[in-house]
Amino acid sequence: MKNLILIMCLLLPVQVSSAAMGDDPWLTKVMTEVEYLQDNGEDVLEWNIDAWVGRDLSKFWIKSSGEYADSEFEDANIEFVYSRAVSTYWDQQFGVRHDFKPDPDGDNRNWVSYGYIGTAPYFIEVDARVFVGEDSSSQLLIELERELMLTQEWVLTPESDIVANGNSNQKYQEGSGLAEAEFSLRLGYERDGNRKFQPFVGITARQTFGKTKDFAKARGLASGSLEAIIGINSWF
Amino acid sequence: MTTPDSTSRRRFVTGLASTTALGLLNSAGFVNAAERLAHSFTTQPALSGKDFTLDIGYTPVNFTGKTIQATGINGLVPAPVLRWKEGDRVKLNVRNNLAVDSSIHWHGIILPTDMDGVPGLSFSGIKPGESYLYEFDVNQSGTYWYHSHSGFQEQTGLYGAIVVEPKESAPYHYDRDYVVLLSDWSDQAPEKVYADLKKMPAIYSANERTLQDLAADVNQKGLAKALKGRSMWNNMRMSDTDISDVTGKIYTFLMNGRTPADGWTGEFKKGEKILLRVINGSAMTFFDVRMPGLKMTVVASDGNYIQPVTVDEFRIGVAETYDVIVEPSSEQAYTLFCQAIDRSGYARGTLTPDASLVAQIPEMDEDPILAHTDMGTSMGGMSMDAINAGGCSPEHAAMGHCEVPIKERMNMPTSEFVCTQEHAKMGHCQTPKQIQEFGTGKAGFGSSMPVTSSGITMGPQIDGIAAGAQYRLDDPGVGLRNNGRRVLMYADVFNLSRTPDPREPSREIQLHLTGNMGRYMWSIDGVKYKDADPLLMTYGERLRITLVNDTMMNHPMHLHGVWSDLETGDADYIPRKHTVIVQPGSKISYLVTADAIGKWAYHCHLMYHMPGMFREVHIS
Repeated sequence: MKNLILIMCLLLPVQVSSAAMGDDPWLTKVMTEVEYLQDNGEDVLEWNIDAWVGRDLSKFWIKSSGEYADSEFEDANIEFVYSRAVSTYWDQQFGVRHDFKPDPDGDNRNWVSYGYIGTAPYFIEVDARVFVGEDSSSQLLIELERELMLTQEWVLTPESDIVANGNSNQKYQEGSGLAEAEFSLRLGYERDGNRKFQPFVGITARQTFGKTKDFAKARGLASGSLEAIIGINSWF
Repeated sequence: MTTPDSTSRRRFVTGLASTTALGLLNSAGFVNAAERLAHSFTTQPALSGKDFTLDIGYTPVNFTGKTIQATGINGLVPAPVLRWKEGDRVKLNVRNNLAVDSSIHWHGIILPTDMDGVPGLSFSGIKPGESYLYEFDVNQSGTYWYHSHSGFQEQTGLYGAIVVEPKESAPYHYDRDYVVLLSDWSDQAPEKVYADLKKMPAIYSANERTLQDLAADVNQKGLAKALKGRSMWNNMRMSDTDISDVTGKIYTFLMNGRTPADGWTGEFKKGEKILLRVINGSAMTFFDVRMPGLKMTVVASDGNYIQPVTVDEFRIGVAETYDVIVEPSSEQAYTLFCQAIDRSGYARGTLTPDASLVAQIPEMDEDPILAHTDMGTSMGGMSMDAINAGGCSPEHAAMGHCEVPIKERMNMPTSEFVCTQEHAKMGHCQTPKQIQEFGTGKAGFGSSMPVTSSGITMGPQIDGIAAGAQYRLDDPGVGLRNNGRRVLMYADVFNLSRTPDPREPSREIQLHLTGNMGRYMWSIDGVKYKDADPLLMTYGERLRITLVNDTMMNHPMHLHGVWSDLETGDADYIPRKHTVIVQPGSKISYLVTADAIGKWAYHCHLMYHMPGMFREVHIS
């Protein structure tokens, strides 16, 4: 876990000087979403950090997401990705992902990933990724997001995430097929139209399905939840 | 103005007033004349003669309440007005006291290539601590300007006006003249602005489409129509309120270096004719200029005399200049009101017989919304509305000038869709068969060649092709259509004297202005400057350039070294320009006489488009 923190810290100071700038400068963008929620009375802090360095059409990404609950990291992962623009609105991404302690035994798991991300009509941000990992794991992850401007300052962001697994795997408590779906609605405020910093409140609903749901039940976990969230979305 | 978002939109940067007038602005941004403190007339630093010493250096400025190091000349932002005389040989010793390379380009002045001031092309730039002696004959007169052609220095203050006094007196009378130099200032470093645009192209949008105005639309037009209007733009992943890349969110708009709160003040005596030399020295902002209560007679465009046209308002693209005469008839103050094209702010000045008088500042117009016309399709009601509303001045109608553009329109290729890349690949973007080619078209009347996408390099750098692009010389442009005022259009502009080079063009170059707004990439024919071959011209030839704007932005295209003879519909009186606005989804043609040997720059004059949307032109 210390490694993860170290890597996250390294991300931050990667600001490249832009003194000699052509039409396609080498740039850095770091996007951070941090949110807090209570899950069954437990404090949970979730993060989603995407950072890239690169140019117009090719970039290196570092992505990390995970949660910190009950004084320890859960479900933390980090992914290194090469991204290449393939058309007007779409990029292809190839990467490797490392999950920290995804199973109750505390083992790590490694994946290779392929992603197709971009903007669909109606400005729907699409992030679709396929992972193939250790222990015959395979996973499909689809995230859809749309920012709806209510005014020039208030932004409503519906987002839906779907996780499906290729195989059932007792070790990781994963069932094959549709495993989990999440839908969230965030109401953000961009003061004076500052698009770089957006505090938000919202709700998030999660539901597990199929065998994954059975695994969860067996561990005494609820198969669905509906929580209030509060957080901050920012980039630089 | 009753749009629901008007209050938030008004939170543009009005800038700092040098008097306490800022404190007297009421919540809506208006100044109550009675409360206004006495002002003095603005003086304008100027240099005249034949020998000039210009020191480029860091200059502290304070337009927003915060002191920032700008780049100025002789300690001034804007740089001093240079007054030359036609026929003189001027010497300008330019010293660079910056820590980085610099340069000066004399915008619109016809001169030898090594005097043109484009680093890497016509000379190697001016190194820190070094000087460069510019020396050339001034063979023209009128209103021009000068600016750095290095990095983004123009955005940080390195620009000034040039006034060249004619050898023979001007063909119109005026009692006094003022330079009106418009510009956009930001406290943010331009490199950072450019980087932020690449990271989030809509970052400075002050007018995003909201659910609130969708609700207003539904009320007004009904659900079906409102949704239909939105769906087209949503499908294209574009916004019809995307007018300016950089807006009043970070810009303070200046007139002769004065903020809107402060205002530039010029004097007139009742009955005088005042010549305003309006120059747009902005990095990114088009302005719509008017003086409530006064007609303006446009007498020159880009330094060259034109047949006078009387209008209420004109749009000035980045780097263009217009000379207009106003005749204030009563003893009162008049506001010179220059709204940014996206209505996110304005620059302001006052013409007044008495420095203590201030006129009311009008409200800004409603937020402009791009129409079907601006997509390069010929369908949709707006285009005909726009044409009808645009009209034609009675003088020109009498001279038969107004018919040509209409005839031209009949011959224009039409297309029922905006061509996406997918369509282009499938061969769907070909020009309809019914369009007959009959040569390149007669001089003065534009091209008869169809719009073709065959020369475009497709890829992620392009978000569309305006297959149905049409001449829109008689379209006043987005935000000015149907506004009830007589607005200058290119179709109104005719040279005062006869076309200097009456030859027919021997060939035609068609270039597409391309880009991907979502990635903030700009190019010509899908190829950015770095990867592009130069355009070659043969010394002495007369050719036509047709520009097709595939994007949703206005691009002011500036060709160095030679004139751009804009084809506005009369072969005998073709106006000469140095910078030509190409409206979104439109095409435009001009003739070029390649009479200047050398390497020249050819580019969009929007600062943050220029790095990609740029070509070298080699004349040999």
